[in-house]
Amino acid sequence: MLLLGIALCSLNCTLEFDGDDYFFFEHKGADMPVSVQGNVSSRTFLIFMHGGPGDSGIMTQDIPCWSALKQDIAVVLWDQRNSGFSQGNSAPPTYDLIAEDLELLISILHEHYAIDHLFLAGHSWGGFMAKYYLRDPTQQDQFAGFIDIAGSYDLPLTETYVREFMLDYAGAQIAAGQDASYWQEAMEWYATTEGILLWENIFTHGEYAIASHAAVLEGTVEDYTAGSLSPGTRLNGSYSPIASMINGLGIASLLWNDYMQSSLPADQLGQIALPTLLIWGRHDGVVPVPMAQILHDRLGTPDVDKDIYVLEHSAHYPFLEEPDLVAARILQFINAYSNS
Amino acid sequence: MRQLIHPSAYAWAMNEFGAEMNMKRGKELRRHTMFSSRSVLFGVLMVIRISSTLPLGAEATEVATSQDAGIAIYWGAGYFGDLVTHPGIYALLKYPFLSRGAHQGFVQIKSFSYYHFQNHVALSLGVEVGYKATGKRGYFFDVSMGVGYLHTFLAGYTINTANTGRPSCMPSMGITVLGWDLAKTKLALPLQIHFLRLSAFGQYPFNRLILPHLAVEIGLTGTLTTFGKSLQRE
Repeated sequence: MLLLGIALCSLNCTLEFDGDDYFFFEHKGADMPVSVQGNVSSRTFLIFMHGGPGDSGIMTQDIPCWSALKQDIAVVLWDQRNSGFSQGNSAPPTYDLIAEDLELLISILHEHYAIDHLFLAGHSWGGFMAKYYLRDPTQQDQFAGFIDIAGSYDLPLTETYVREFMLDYAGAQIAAGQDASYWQEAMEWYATTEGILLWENIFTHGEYAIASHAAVLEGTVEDYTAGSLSPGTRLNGSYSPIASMINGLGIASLLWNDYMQSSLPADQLGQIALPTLLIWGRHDGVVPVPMAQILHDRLGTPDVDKDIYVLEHSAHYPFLEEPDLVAARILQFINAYSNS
Repeated sequence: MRQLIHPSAYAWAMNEFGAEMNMKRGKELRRHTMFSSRSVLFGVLMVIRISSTLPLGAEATEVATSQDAGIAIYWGAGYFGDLVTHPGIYALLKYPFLSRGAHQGFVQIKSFSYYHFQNHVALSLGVEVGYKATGKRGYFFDVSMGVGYLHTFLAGYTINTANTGRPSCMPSMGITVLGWDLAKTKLALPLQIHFLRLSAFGQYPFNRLILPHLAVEIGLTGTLTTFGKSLQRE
C-alpha cells in the first residue's frame, strides 16, 4: 500500500514549464495550486486573483475568457490559501499573509519562466487584495499593468450602493407587479437593517441578491465555473467540490466581517500609479457600477493610463458573462502596455 | 411489548445481561431506571436482536456462520473510490469478536490509498468496530465506525516543498449496503462479496477544519485463517 502511494505520488512529478503546467507551492502551512496555461513564449503573463474570499481560480481554468487569452499570453490561475482547491493547515488568513503568498508566487514564476511583462488582474475580493498589494509603490514596479474586474476597495461605501441597488430593484419589481409581496418585504428589510453585508445578515441579503440577479444576469456562477469544466476534469481532475465548499465557509467565517468593514484609504489608492483597466458589469449588484468611477478618480494613475470598460449585459462577473468582449479588451490593454 | 419483540429476542437479551428475570411478567425490567447506562445498552442490544425477527435476519439457528466453527480472521480487498472516481484500493483484516447466529460484531484494521489527480494522494491506516447481519440466503449488510491515521501527499509537481505529506486524524464510518456470503450458497465458497459499500471519513486538520470525504468500495472478503479453531480444540 505504501509503495502504491509513493508510486502514485511520483506521477506527474515532472514539469516542462511549457504553458501546460500545474504545480503546488507551499507557504506558511498552505499548499496552493497554480495553473499556468497558454503562450509562455510570448513572455507576457497575467496573474488572476480570484474573488470570494474563498472562491477558486483553478475552477475557472476552462472558461472561454481565459481560452481566448491563452493564444496570446500565459494565464496564471492560483487558488489562494483557504480557498478553492488549496490544502494544508493554514494559519488564519490575513491580508498580509495573502500578500506574502502573492509575492512568493511572483518570485516562483520569475524563477521558472522568462517573463518580460507581468500583469495583475483581480476580481471582486481578488481586486481588493491586488490593490492592497499594489499600495506599496515598490511592488508596482513588478507589473506592466493592473486589471481590476469589479474589485472592491471600500466596503462601507459598497454597502451603501448595494442597498441602493436592492431598493431600486425591489421598487421596480413592485411597480411591475412581480412578486410584489416578496419584494415589499425585501424593501422593508433593506430599509431597516444595518450592516446588510455582515455575516449575520449575509444569508438574508444573499437570498435577495440571487433573486435580483446581482451576481450574474442568467443562471448561477457555478454554471459558468464548475459548469465549464470538462467531464474528465470534473470526474477525475483537480476538481474538489467538498474541499472547495469547506475552504469557502472556513475563510468566510474567519475574514468576512473584517473584510466587509475594510476600506483602502483614498491616499493609499492614490499611491497606485500603474496603468489600470477597470472592467465592470452595468448590472452589478455586488460591487455596483458607480464604484468604478469613484475608484477611477481615487487611483493615482495618470488619466491617460486608466480606463473604465462597462459591459452592458453583465452583472458582477463580466469575464464569465461576456467573455469574448472582456478578453478582447484585456488583450488590447496588455498589448498597449507590453509595447510601451 | 411481547407483540413487538420476538420471544427469543427477549430471552436472548435477558440472557446477555445475566439477569434472573421473570420473563412473563418482566418485573426486573422495572427495576432499571430509564436512563441508566445498563438500560441504554439493553436497548441497543434489543434493537439488534429485534432485527433478527425481520426477514433479513432469518432464524439464527438455521444460519450457521463459518466463524461458529472457530475463531476466524478474514482478509478483505477491493476498489476504493474517493468520490467514486478517484481510484484506489483498500485492504483489511477483520476479526469477528462476537457471533450470534446471523449477527456478528467485528473489529477490523483497514488501510486504503487513492489518487486524486492534481490534488492529492492519500494513505490511511485505521481500526473500526462494526456490526454485520446476514440473511439465510447469504445476503448481508454491515456498518462500522472507527478512527485512524491519514497521510496526504500533493499529487503534482511541487515547487518549494519536499512533499513529504501532511498527517491527519481520520474518523471513519461505512456501511455495506449489499453483500453476499458465498459460503451460504450452493457454491459454498469461503468468500463474501461487498457489492456496494459506502464510506465516509474525515481529514483533520484541513485548514483548521475537518474535511469530510465520501467514497465507495467494491470488494471481497475471505477467510484468512481459522487458527482459533485449532486453539479451541486444544
